[in-house]
Amino acid sequence: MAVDFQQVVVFELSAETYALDILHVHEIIRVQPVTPVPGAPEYIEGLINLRGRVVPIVDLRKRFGLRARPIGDRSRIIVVQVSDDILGIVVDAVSEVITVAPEFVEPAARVVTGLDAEYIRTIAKVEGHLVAVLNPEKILEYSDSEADEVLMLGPGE
Amino acid sequence: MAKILVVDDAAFMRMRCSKLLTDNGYDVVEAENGLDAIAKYKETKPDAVLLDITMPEMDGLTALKEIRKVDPEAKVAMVTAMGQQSMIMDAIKSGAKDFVVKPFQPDRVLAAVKKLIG
Amino acid sequence: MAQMQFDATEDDIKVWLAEADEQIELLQNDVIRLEKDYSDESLVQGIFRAAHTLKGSSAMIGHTRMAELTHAMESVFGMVREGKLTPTTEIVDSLLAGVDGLNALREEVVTKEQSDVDLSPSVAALRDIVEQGGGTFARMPGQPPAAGGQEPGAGGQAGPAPTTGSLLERFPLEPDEIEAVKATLESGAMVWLLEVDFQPDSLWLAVRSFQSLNDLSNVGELLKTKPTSEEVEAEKVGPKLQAVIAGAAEAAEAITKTAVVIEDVVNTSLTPYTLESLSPSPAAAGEGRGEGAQGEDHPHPSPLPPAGEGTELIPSQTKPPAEAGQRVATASRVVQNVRVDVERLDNLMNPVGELVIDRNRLQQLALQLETELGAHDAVDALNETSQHVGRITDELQEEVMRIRMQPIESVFNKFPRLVRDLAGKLGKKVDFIIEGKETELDRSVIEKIDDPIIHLLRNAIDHGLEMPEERRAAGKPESGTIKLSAWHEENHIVIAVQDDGRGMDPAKLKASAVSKKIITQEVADRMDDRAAVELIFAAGFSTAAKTTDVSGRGVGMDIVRANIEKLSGFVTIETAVGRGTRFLVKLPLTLAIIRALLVALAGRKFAIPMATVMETLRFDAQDVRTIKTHEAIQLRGRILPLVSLRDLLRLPALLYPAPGEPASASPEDEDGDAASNGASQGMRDVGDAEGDSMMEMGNRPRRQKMFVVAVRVGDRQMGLQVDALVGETEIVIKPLSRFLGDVRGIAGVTILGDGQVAIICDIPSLINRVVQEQLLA
Repeated sequence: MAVDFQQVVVFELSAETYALDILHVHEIIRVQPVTPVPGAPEYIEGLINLRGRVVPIVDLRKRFGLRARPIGDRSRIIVVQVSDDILGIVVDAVSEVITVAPEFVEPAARVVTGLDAEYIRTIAKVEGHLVAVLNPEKILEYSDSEADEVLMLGPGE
Repeated sequence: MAKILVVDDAAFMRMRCSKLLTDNGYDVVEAENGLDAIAKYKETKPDAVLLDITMPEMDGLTALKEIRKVDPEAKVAMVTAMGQQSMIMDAIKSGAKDFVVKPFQPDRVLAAVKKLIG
Repeated sequence: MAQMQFDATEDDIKVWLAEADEQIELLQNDVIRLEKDYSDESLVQGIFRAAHTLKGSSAMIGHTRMAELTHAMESVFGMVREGKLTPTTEIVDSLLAGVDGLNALREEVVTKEQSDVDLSPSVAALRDIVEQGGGTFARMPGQPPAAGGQEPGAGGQAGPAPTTGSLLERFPLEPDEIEAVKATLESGAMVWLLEVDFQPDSLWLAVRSFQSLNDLSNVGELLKTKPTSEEVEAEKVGPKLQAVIAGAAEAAEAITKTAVVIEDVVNTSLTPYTLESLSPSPAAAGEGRGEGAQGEDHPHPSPLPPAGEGTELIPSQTKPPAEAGQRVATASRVVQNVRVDVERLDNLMNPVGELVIDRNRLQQLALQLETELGAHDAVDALNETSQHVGRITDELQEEVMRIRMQPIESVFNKFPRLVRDLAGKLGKKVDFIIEGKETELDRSVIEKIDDPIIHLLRNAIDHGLEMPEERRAAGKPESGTIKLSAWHEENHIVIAVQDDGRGMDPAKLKASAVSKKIITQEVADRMDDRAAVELIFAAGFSTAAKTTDVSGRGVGMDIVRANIEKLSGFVTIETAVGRGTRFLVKLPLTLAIIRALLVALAGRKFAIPMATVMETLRFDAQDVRTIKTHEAIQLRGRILPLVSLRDLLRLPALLYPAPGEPASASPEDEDGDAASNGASQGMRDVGDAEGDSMMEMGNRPRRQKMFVVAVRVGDRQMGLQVDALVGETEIVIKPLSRFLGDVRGIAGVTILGDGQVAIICDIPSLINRVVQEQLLA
């Protein structure tokens, strides 16, 4: 929990506003062509080459069944990193990077958005409205065996 | 600074022996088998040699004879473990001046070296 | 737990451990071979030396129990070496128990805590073996003598030789000897009686006596000694040495000095003879009396070394012990070795991998520039440099890989013991043969390969081999043979586990699978023998509970195969009912960098490991035959089934946008603008379905060119149809991000020379999929 001032990246996802602590934001890049991974979960768009590192790109909306939006001019990829795990999330737009005073941050007491409560770390008050600050570890948590069951046929496959 | 050539195929023994000698003011050269010992003897001309009897490839006795060929005045003490008396006697016949028992007691080794160098 | 103190610093202990581990490992590997190969001189000599060295070094750090145990083992080995003992199963068992004890004692050095292992039974057993073999269990220096054993000087003189009594009483002389002494005295020289007392419990009395006599002969003339030189050389000595020595008067000092500086000497006395003292006196004639006589009453004081120990073998004709492995001294040079931290070896791989990627990139860029700029000095220079970098990278890569390679021996060595124990438990007789243990493979593979092999061995012993009676009834030798072999094939290592047991019966396997509800009877009926045999790899097929567990886990064959595939390898079976079974495990030599064939699929590049590629084919659509519902072509008289790789990977018809296409530029370029053609869609939306229908059966234009990669896994072959063949290249395998979980059909990803991420196909898994699908279709 931030005791001090917290710097966050604010972004839009399916008409909702969220934020991420800048400590976990590796970089923000333009949307670029990905290499799809056949057989991977639907919400995984694919892989990109980030200066020699292979990074998976995830569409969080698909992951949570939110309303999909087409890629637009303002779409960006936020590359999130927690220790050795790295991942890129596609967002509709990145608004700004702001510093939030501790008094404006409170724990996530109730579900406020379409996202699962576990993904929300805290709620920050930014320019009048409430913004859910996301929990990067939860985002980076990898799925176990969500890989396509469809691909498995026959005994033991 | 007197120089001693320590010959033993067991690295641990070699290390301990060398440490003992250097702690007591000697210079030490190490060799891990007979061939190496001969080469090092020629190269560094030590003042005395502590030579292990049981080594693979070329055993201590043969090494002793070879070293004495290189230098008939070579001062060599054999280092030996249990029960090799007749071999030591052969070594003495071939020119070894003394022998030290493994596992060695520091004072014995130092005494033997002192005696060798004179 | 009692704390232990060793006479060694932490650094000392590191060196000690490194060496001790070598010896223990050798003992672990080779002792078991004694039962059969005890006449192999170099084997026995190697074992003896290992025990000998270990004894010495454990005594050096003060680990008494370890020195004791090793000493006991060394004694047994010594007798085997002398041919005085033949290793029976019981003897080998005792020795193996000793080796186990050594492991526990070794741990104590690491933890500094005394373990509760009780070694006295082992030591006693080994001592019994020695004594039953007619040897004498010699004491170690520092050990208290066994009660009732032969005690030098126990009954005799404990103190210095009293100098009372006349010279002739102390040392009787024959009449002619007396004359000789007199004559010497009359000639003006001096003659003395030198009496030397050694430390009574010294174990080196013979040598010390020898040394004394030797040195004394340099400073005087020895007229008579007791014991005589012959006796001394025969090690018939006591704690006392007497010598009649002649020399000039000044020699006295030298003589005393010479005698005194010999180690183990506690007392010396030098008494001159005079003519008067040589006058015959009744007391001196004949009978043994006085001090001199006492020497003869002593029981043989010096402990007998284990029979025949006195002569050290001169091993110059024998091969160096295998465990020393790296120590091979040739006639002219000695190989030096460097110990490297294992972590450093791992760290070396990463930069090399990156270099390979960059080299590919450089080559690509050079090509691109050449295309765009045409002939240009800078392009030439870049080309040259890029090629040079390429060569150096190749060299570096080769060297690093070689450094990382290790003989599979370290893995194989665990198995004889395991096989022996397991066979014993199950009541089976096994002849275990190992071949090719010098075959090398990458460190990282070595670490992971032992589990699968253990399971295959266990399977062979448990299920493969029949009980001795059954074998006899079948006309086979009672002992089953299990052969574990390894060899190189191209860029792979092949490991085979073969048994001459009952083999696998496809019919029985099918029946079993049906009853376990793994497949239906219908599917079983349609299955060919080859597929039936592979049923053992099906999940749920092996009932682990049946196997008597040696290493604590029951694991099914499906896990074994999965683990092998995780190493980018695959396993195949050959079997014949009644004759036996052979499992073949094929693994790449390195996990990191491989040669791959790049193919185009749905606008993207995919990589297929060259190891699985037989050849690439190009032919017309009209050459495709249809067999039942499956497509195939004829290839040199054989039928090669065809499958669309795109379908197999479940790819949509067209992946969009495709980078590198003329329309768009590099990935750095503007975002999804490429997607703004018409519908604003996602990043990888499906394009039109046109491509799809082109591939449908029977709908293809007859002359349409088909590109196929013929691949092979074991003896299954398949033709993978692709859109185009791009080329062959070396790629660095990067693991699929953990985030994606386990995606079947994909072995990993790589970054190509053009910067794109490409998927690497897991061919064995894909082929399996085809087989399954066709079965169920």
